[in-house]
Amino acid sequence: MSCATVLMFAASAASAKCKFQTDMPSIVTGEHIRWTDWTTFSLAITTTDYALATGISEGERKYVGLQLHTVTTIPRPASKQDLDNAVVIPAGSDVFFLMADESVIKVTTDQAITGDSDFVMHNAKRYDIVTNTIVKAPLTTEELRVLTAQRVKRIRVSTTSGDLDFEFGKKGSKKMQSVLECIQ
Amino acid sequence: MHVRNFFSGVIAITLLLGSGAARAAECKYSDRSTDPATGVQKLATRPVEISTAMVSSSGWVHAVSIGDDRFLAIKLRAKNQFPIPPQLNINLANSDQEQRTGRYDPRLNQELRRLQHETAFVPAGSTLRITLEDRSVIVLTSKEDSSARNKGWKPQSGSENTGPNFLLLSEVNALYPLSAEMIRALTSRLAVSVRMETADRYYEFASRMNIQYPLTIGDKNGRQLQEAVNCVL
Repeated sequence: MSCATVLMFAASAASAKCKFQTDMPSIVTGEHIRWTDWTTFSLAITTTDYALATGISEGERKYVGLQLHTVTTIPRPASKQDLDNAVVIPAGSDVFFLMADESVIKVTTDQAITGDSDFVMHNAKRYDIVTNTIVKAPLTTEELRVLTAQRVKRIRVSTTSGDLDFEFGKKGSKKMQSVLECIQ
Repeated sequence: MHVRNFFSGVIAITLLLGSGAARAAECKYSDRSTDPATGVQKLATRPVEISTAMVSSSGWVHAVSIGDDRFLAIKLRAKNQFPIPPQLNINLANSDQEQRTGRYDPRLNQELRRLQHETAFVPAGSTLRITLEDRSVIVLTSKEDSSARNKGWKPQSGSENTGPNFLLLSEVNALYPLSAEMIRALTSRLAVSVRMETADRYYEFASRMNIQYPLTIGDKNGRQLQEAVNCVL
């Protein structure tokens, strides 16, 4: 069996594992859109803040998608302004990937993002603003290659109200690599 | 020759009638009326239930046609709790007795009226954001104010966890005009999630069974919503 055959077999085996929640042309642009199923990667999944990852391709463009679930506690019911400002990521914000070899990959968001927030009452003096934010960070071919080849230890997303950090476990890092391999 | 034409005609008419009957059987309407004054016909499909991420609220969506105009209508049924504003500084120690006698502090009545007026109110220009399965987003905008029917309860001594709070059950119906472009999008792609804006907050019509799954109204509800829009075209 030739080397090329082995590689092709390995590639088809990898793609067979790929599951896509979106795999169709965009009704707006006509470009083929693919979003893999979300996979959890962050440590301490039992705490309130956690994150999920997806691999996204839009035509030839590739993205890593991050779904950030965050909770902020306030002593009163949230106003609409509180909900609108809970997580705001302007276009051009930085997303840092700290790699296993301590190198850093910095990518920049290409669109403004506002998290979707709702609030839950715990008791008369504690209200939680629960925010779900989907961040799309564009990746070059080289960045995609590095992210699938090496373990990620931490992700930092810059927002208007501070940085959001998410730690990776070894298993979580492999999961994220597997969804990114699906869009290579 | 005439006999063959006759049979062809009968078959064609039967097929046409059959397809019409099949479509009518698929489309079920909660309202199918004609305005006696204007002669304008109104069609409203049966509502499709969509749950919210917060379990205390629920919603229904249906497609509506009034004459040549097409709409999406949402019925929101929300349950909200509001604390007593600190500036009122009301002692509720005797609230059980007050409840029996009906003699509440008048400031509580005033606050309840304010909450009933403001909660789940959908002002004209409020948005209904629908994310479709191809990840495209369409934003509908309400054309007119929609006030909620609110039923409220004044705070009583409350439980250990929630404390004394106003409790409001709200129901509001809001109507969002659909453009031809929106109809094209909604009939060719399934809706994944729906987010409704009110004057005071947002209601996300989507839920997930566990964190591995994205927030979604579910394939079945998405298909039913698509069928509803098809039924008013």
